[in-house]
Amino acid sequence: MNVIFANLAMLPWTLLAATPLLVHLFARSRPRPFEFSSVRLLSEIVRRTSRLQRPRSWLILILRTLLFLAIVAMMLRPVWMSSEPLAGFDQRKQVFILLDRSASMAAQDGSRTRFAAGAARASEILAGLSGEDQANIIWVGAQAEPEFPSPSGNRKLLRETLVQAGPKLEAANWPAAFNEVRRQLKQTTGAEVHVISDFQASNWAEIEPALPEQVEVLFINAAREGLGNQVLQSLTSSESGDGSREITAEVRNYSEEPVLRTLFLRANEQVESRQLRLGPGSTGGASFQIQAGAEQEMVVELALDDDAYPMDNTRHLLLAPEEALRVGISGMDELTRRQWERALQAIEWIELVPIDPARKTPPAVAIWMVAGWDGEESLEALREFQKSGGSLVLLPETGTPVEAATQLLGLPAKETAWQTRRNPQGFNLVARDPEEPILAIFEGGEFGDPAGGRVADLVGGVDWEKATDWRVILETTTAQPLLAVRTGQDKAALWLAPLRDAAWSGRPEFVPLLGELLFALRPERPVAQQTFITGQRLVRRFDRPVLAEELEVAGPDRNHPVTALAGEGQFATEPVSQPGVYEWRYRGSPVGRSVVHFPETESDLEQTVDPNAILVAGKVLGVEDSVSALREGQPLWPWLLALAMAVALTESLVVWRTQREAGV
Amino acid sequence: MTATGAHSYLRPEDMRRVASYEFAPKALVEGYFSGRHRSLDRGSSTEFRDYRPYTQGDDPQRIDWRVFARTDRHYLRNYHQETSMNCHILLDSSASMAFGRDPSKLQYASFFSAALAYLVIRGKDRVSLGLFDEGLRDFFPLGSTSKHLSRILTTLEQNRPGSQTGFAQVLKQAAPLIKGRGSLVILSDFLEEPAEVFDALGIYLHRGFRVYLFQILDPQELQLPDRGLSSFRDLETGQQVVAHAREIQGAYDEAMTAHQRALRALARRRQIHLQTARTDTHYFQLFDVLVQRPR
Repeated sequence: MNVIFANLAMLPWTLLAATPLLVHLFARSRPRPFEFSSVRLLSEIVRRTSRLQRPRSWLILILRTLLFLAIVAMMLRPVWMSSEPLAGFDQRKQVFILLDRSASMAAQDGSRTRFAAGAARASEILAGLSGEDQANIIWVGAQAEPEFPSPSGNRKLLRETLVQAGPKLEAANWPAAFNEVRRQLKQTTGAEVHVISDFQASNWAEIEPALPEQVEVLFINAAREGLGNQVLQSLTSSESGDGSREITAEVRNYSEEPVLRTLFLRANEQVESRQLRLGPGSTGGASFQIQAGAEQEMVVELALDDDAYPMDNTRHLLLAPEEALRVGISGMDELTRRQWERALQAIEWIELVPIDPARKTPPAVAIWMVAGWDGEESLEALREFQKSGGSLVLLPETGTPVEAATQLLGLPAKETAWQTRRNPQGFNLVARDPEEPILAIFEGGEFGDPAGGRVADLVGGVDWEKATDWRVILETTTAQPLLAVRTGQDKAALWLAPLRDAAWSGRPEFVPLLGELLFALRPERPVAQQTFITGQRLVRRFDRPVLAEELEVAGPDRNHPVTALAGEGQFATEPVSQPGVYEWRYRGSPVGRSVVHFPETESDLEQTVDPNAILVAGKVLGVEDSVSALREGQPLWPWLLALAMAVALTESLVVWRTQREAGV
Repeated sequence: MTATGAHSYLRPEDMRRVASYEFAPKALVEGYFSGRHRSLDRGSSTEFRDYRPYTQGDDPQRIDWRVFARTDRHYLRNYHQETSMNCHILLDSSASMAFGRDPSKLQYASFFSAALAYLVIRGKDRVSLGLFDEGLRDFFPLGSTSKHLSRILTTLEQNRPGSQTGFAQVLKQAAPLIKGRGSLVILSDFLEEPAEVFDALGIYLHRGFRVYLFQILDPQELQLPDRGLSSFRDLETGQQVVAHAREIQGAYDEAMTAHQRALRALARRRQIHLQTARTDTHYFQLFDVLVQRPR
């Protein structure tokens, strides 16, 4: 431990400590003489009490001397310095300040935000550096943004930047920040890394900064105390049977106290509120019924009533309009394709979309029907389409390998190539399962008999006994499957009857059968809806050719320019920092919306990690609440003041007790 | 009685006032009358008291022959005896009696001694005076003349505080000088061990003296003044005790009270009259006490 005195000019005053001793000796050497008739009684009293009085007198003397010493020591302004000085005490230092500017740093901690406290400490660090030292600030948000490309001696500019900087509503990307430090490190000896953060558990739980061993790391906690916060964690919608939609909000209480919050919903003209009681650390939900507009996209906004940390109180949801089911048809079997197109044109809620056979990217349709697939046409596009949640209806081309289709559809193959069986008389059809939901519409008989037609050709090659997650809808009277579907997660249908004539497709029941099949295959969630969090770039794909310079995105704060990404029709903005609804505009006209959410990891302001527990490869100096304690030392005067007060109190007690015993 | 002239301890104005306490000495002697002091002891006098049968050894001259003539028996006539009062005053003149100012304890005691001597002689009684410290320094045997009184007063004026107090030595020394029964009046501060004082008085009690102790104390001796850190020097021994007056005040009060209580207890046990006087009160009060004292 090193103690230095900041006010050595007061050193001569330490002689004051001798005052009680001098007073004591002076008073003892010159008692006032008093001629008394007889000291017989007095000498007895003094002899009796001196055994007790003398040690007490010495105790009082010691206490008074100690009191003077404490007061004089206070005037000397002693400062405790860490016995382990920071790096490069005698050499040029390279100092990196990693300042957390994530959303949680915007939390109010007393009279200022956590970020303001952290910036003040960063400024203290910079002020404490000597002329030769170099420093850099790395702002830690969704990206790690260094103030300079490499550490610089222009610390004045860094300090000015600290004054103007503020937190962003983003999550902190600490791995990127430590990577940036490693990139900029020119020297390992004499390098210091000051990590200023609120050490949220949600951000720091998995962080293990890998730094060279010689680098000294100091963690500085900018948060003084936890803040009980509630966050609107998720917002989902589901269709109700009566045509309305149910909006369900989930609220998480990070506080250790039970809370009562109010949720406000706003959707077009509809405004509603619900009260929500949440236990400590629990999650609760509330539901709202809204009438979704059929014509256009609707923005649903849910908000919590204001609290100490309002940034995460609002969340948005885009409800897509009830638009036509987009069905794309492609394939080399032109006859079948035409029959399908003719039938689908008769269904008003289906929008037919022609698809280029050479297409390499998935089309913007919900169902993709391929008539006469050879196992190669648009194979990658079909796979991607399936992954994005689209449904496939596939009619294999005779003679082509079975494996391509079975792999795509997850079916067991029985043959190596698709075989066609022909029956000039036509195969009679039959429904395999009378309870099949897709055929439920035909139960009343008004739409005819779905198995009323006949087909001449039938394609085969699948081992249906092993195809457990597929249902055969129609088959021949000889139990040859004709139409099979897989519903559930990856919806698909295998159409095994090429339509060469109108013997089946010309029958009135064919259109409703095809309609019911496609309705059952429709994706449950709109594929197009894509959400982002702050700090991310907004990305959107356009099916038609657009110019990037004609695109822009209007956000809650400002308009963002758009750039074209490598890839077909993809465009992106710069990272956005405000949660809310962003509108894509092409030549000034709205062409779509994107929703940006507040990052969930930033909402937990209560739970923090102990910085001592963070595993760092570098040399961790420890956690200091005050940088000045290391740089400028810890002032000891408050302790001395406390000591002086305690000594004064003890002295008073001893004197009082002495006087009381003497009967004064 | 003739005037004594101007003396420091018996001023003319005091003499007039003291005269009103003429019965004080009577209280002291309590029956030892001579002349106006009526004694219960039977003796030769002119006032008849009663008869008693003659026994061998009686003076034949005291036989009442008239009674013998009438009764043919020998009776003696008893008469009230008229006695002279003997008052022996012993005045402590040790160094401790110099304590106090206006007056000091010695001055206070001298005033009282002078007034008492005057009263005794005015009543045609006899008074003796002894001055002592560690030994009997001066002694005037019994006398009842104005000249005797004048000598006593002069001696008191010339008296100065001496050395230590030596009660045992003094009372032993004075025993052969103090003749005949009477009252022994001792004026002192009695700051010695109480038992030491009363043991020394035993010889006088045995001889039938009535002993009166007048304890003269300065108010500062009864209540220690707060003089801060002080070096208390014993006026008799020169011993010094350094103490903070405030710190020992309480203990001193307790010790002084215990000392006084011990003195009173021993006096009561030996039927000795003990009266404490503070020098800030007038010595006439001591006469008041004597006059009012019940028989």
